[in-house]
Amino acid sequence: MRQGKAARPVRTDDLIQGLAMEAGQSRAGRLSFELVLSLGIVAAIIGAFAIVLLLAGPRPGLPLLAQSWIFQFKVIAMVLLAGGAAWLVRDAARPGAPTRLGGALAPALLFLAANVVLDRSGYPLSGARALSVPVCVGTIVLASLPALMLMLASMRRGIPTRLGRAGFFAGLLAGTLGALAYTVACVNDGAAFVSVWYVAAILIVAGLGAVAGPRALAW
Amino acid sequence: MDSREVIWAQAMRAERQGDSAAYARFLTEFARSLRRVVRLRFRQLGLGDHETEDIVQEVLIAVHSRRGQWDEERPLLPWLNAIARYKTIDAMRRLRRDLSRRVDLSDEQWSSMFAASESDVETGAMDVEKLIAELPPRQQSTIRVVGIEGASHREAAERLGTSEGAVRVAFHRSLKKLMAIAQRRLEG
Repeated sequence: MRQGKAARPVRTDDLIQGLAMEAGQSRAGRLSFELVLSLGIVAAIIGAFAIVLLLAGPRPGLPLLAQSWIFQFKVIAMVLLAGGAAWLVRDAARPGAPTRLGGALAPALLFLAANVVLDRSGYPLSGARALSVPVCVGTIVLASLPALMLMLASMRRGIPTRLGRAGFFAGLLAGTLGALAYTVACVNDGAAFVSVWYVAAILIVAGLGAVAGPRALAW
Repeated sequence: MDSREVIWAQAMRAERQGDSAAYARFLTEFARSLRRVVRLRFRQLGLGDHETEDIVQEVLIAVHSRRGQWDEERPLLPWLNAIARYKTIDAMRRLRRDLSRRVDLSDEQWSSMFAASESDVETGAMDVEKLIAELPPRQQSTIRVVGIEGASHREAAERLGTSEGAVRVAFHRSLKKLMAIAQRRLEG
């Protein structure tokens, strides 16, 4: 979307007069970026859950487990991370807004770290099954791909000006939503597993976003 | 607070009320400071004023088409700067791509360029000598004496044992022939 490349007036003064004639005509009932982003997040969550249930299915005994801390810990960690990532995505699509990386990610990271330190469950880092790590990382990444596309599409409604960074944050958010969905299928409990492998999968998606950003977000 | 921040933010709010004059004033001032920054940057890169004006216009259009998204609660200058920075870098990247495309040659052109530069290293003298070798013997000696050694027609006539008029005619003919041979070589 490169506006005004064709038939540009030669003189800047003429251009300015032309633009000034359009004063007061800019707010023609467009959805705000924040609203589009919120709708995108909701759609991404639904899509991610659908993929996880399709690929892996809910873990056995989920209704009972849902009341346990080992399950709630995962959900709380991912919700905290998603909140911070959403904050970063919104600011990345606002020209001139500072990137507050620390403020956005500290709650989630501190929560994860505290749980790793306090975890007395003894669940192994390699997970409950032989293929736990690749299955977990792979499912989260797959569940995150539609979310990543939705996040990038939503960001186009804003004004991203550092596209690689903006794409990274879009991936961070998408990956976290994928990981949030994966909690209903994941049989691997333990803070260490979540802190390492969930975060690794999320970072893979963030990396994909950073690569896709410059092309997907150019305007 | 920066007075420009206040004045421009006011103009941007006035634009939303349909105040064309205030908006035009803001755009003109913004373009002026933009031009100053971009021109300075471009001079350092060896780019001209024509490209500067293109980018100024591109930034103006970008700001204009997204002006509805500026949040009045937030400072305007960082908003403008971020858009100007993005559009300037974008345009510079495009300029550089265009430039490299214009400079780049096809594989054939590259290979013929190296062939040409090799004969350049031999300083062209060889080329002339090769061309002369194709002339009849009489014209060869004439062009060597007159054209390369720089003798006058009279001197050449004496050394070659012929008349001045004959040298003149032979020299003229050999030049014409050399031109024809050179032309043929260039085309073939």
